[in-house]
Formats: sequence, structure tokens, C-alpha cells
Amino acid sequence: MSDAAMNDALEVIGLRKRYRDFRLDSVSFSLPAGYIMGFVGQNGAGKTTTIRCILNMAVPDGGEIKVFGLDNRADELAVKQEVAVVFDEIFFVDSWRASDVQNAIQGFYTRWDRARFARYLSDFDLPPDKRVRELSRGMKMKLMLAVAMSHGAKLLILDEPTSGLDPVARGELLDILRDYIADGTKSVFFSTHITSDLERIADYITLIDAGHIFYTGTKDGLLEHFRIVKGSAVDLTEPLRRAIIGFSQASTGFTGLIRTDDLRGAPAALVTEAPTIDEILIHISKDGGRS
Amino acid sequence: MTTVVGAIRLDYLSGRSYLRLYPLFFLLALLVGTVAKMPVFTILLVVILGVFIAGGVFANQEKNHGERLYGTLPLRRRDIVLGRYLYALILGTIASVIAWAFGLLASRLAGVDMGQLGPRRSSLGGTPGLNSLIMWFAIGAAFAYFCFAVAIAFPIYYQFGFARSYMFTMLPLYLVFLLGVLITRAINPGSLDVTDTIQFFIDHVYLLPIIGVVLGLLFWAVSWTIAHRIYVHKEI
Repeated sequence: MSDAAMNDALEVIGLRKRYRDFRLDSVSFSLPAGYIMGFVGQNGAGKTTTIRCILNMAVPDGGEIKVFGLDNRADELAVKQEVAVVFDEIFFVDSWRASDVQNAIQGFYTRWDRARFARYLSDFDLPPDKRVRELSRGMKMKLMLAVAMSHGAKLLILDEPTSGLDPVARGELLDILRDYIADGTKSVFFSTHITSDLERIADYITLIDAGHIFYTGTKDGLLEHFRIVKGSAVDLTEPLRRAIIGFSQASTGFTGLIRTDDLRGAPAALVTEAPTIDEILIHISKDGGRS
Repeated sequence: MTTVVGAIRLDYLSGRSYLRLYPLFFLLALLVGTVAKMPVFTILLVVILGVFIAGGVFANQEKNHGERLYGTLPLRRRDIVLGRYLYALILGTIASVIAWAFGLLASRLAGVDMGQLGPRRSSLGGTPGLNSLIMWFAIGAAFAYFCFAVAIAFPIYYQFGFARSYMFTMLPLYLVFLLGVLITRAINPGSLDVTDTIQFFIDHVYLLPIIGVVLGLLFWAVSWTIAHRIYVHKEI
């Protein structure tokens, strides 16, 4: 195994999964240990399917998934000791209290830390005597995080954790994640379609569109790699038109996303600006996976 | 093994809200058996109602996205299924013991023999030893029925989910009833001389619960194998 693979918290290689109306097509990316990766795509792009494959909740048709160098299927128990998961919906019995959650879960983890769990409950202002069904959405999310971060997991996987949260709760969640990776040994894989969250905390971005990986790499690299381009109809050449992703045209001119390399030799009159992740996502989605 | 014990414990905690109904069901069965002067009915009712409780863990799991919880824990699929079946077996055993105790209690409270099958009928328990035979037959049959009901329902729940198939909880009861009708028609029990058979079981009454347990475990084991095959390939 290469040093790079050993240092990866998560490595997905050529993952394939076919359903009747959707398929993941050779999805590959890797998350180096100690960083946060945002996994971005519109609804139905394949984010949750990829996460389910990582967790062995869905069986891939092909490809390999490694967590800290361990095969996610052959070494499932060891892998799951190192992984904590937060989904968009809470999965604890609604009549449980926080103490019931701990009683139900702790026996499965060799490194469960009761003191740490109690500290998280206190830090997150979670009332220990309230039942799960009585908690607000933000509190449910914090309870799942408290559980996820109390068993010494080194990789935290979050599937759309911020959807449905108000901006204050989202801000709190992002602060919690930042604190979580502060010691440099833990990693976060964070699936979302709310890209403003990622601009605040992600080190790496993987963009998925219609089951294909559009980009995977550093966040800065993504933002440097693409430009929003705008121009009038007279500036639009055929090669430029072909290079533009998510092209749209109005009477005043055209706009779209373009790879920075494709701007070489383009008319000087074109206006270019740095895109946001949201704009990149919108343009690749408009392109319908052709890019 | 510890993960299986953990899975049983998790099932217990997941289905605990349904378990709270158990005493209520037991008292209902005691009341029905006492009022109807049919202690055997108490025995059977405790176990039949117990099957609903055992299915409660599927109901709660589905309601609370529990499959995701089980899917994220360090648990193999086979341990999840084995844990679920062992949990059901524990419930079935507890239900059978309580059915025995409540059957005797109903018999005392109603002031009738175990063989009494209704207020206006004479007791079948006139022959020495027959009361004991009827009771142990009922206990054995109750345990076997519990396992049979679980054996039918659990693989269906695993395949289709609880919400879409909970009506199948009653399917085993209908199957037993149908089987009873078919056998009765086929052999015409009135024409059979079963005196020797009855006397054999009166002399060897301990065989009845053993037969019930062996039959029940057979249903349980076959069903567990099927459910395991279903769940191992299931997407959760």
C-alpha cells in the first residue's frame, strides 16, 4: 500500500452502482487524514448512494472503498469502529432519552467515552431528560453529533446534516466540526447541497453530478480552476461556446462557467470572475452531466 | 458473540415501548380464560398476543429510521438477524412460562379443570392425568405456535418492511386454522380410536413440551436462515 493511501482517511476507487433509473459511474476520490471534504451535488446526484456504499448499507457493483487503508466490507467491524455517521434524519427511537441512547450504543464501541458524551451534552445544551421526539431539529442533530464524537471515531461522515437547520444552528454545527478536527488526527466527509457551509470549513471538495465526479481536489483548486465568464454575442466564438459549461444566453449577452485553461486565447472583452461553489454547482447541473 | 448480545440488547431497547403492553395483554388473556371458563384459552392467548409484541421491534425500527442505526454500528448483518431471532426466542420463552402460570391461575380463579372448554361443557379432564396432558399440550403448542408465527412473519418483514406487511402478523393464525380444518376433514377424528395415543402421552406427558420446543426451534431455525439470506443482500 502506498504512503498516500495509508494517509488517506477515505479512498473511493472506481465505485460503480446501478439502479433502474440511476447509476454511479466510476466514482473516485480520496480524503487525506486530518481534513474536511465537502461532497457536493444537487439532490439525486449520488451523494447518499455513495455514502451508503461506504457504510456497506448498499453493495456496489464494482470498485473499492478503503477507510484508513482497510477494506470497508472485509474489515467492516474495524472500519465502523473508526467511523461515525450523522444523517439528515435522527435514527434513535423517539421515546429514548439521551441516557437511553448511550445505553443502547456504548456497548458496540471499544472506545466509548461516557465522560466525553456527558461533556458534549452539556456543551450542546442538550437536556438529558427530554425524549428524542421532544427535541428540536437542531437539538436532534447535536445529539447525533454527541454520539458520533463520543466513541473515538477518526472519520466523521455527515449526510446532509445542515438541511432543515436554521442559520444559527448551521453555524453552531460548523463550529463543532472545526473543533472536532482541531487535533489534526480526525477527518470529516460532509455531504451537502448547501454550499455556503463548505466555503466556510471545507479543505477539499468533491463535486458529483448525475453519478459522475465532476471535480475532486482542494477547495482553492476548485475556485482557481473555474471562472464565470460573461460577454456579448459578438464575443462568442464556436470554440468558446463548446468550452462553456452551463451556457445560457439572453438578449444582453451570454454567461456560463469555463475552465481557467480554456480562457487562453479568448477575446479580451470577456468579463471573468471567480465563481462560488454554488455557481459551479448550478452551471454543471444546467449542463446535464455533459461536462 | 458480544456483538450478538449487543444486538439483542438493542432490540430490547428499541422494542421496549411495545413490551410495556405485555402485562396488559397477559391480564386480558387471564380475564378471558377465567370468564370463559377455558384456562387453555388463556395459555394460547398469551402467546398469540405475544407475537404482536415481538414484531414491535420492526415497527419501531421502521418508524425511527432504525435500519440506519443498525447499518452504522459495528455489527455484521448476520449478527443483526441472529440477535433479532434470539430476542424473539427469549420473548417466546417468557410468554410460554407466563402462559403456563396464568393458565393455572385462570383454572383456579374459574374453579374449573384445565380440560374445561367452556361454561356449559363438561370437562375433558375426567380421566386421571388428562388435565396435566391438556395443560402441557397447550404449553407445547403455544411455544410452537409462537415460533411458527415468528418464522412466517419475520422474513416477510425483512423483505418488504413492517408497514407494508404487518397484516401478515395474523397469517400464521389463519394458516394454523386452515391446517386444522383440512386435517379434521381428512381424518374424521370421530372415527379414530386415540385412546392408546392419549394414554401414551398421559404416561409420558413430559414429551409434549419437548415436542413443542423441538418443533418451535425447527421453525425458528429455518426462518432465521431465510431471513439471514434476505437481509444480507438487502439495501438499507
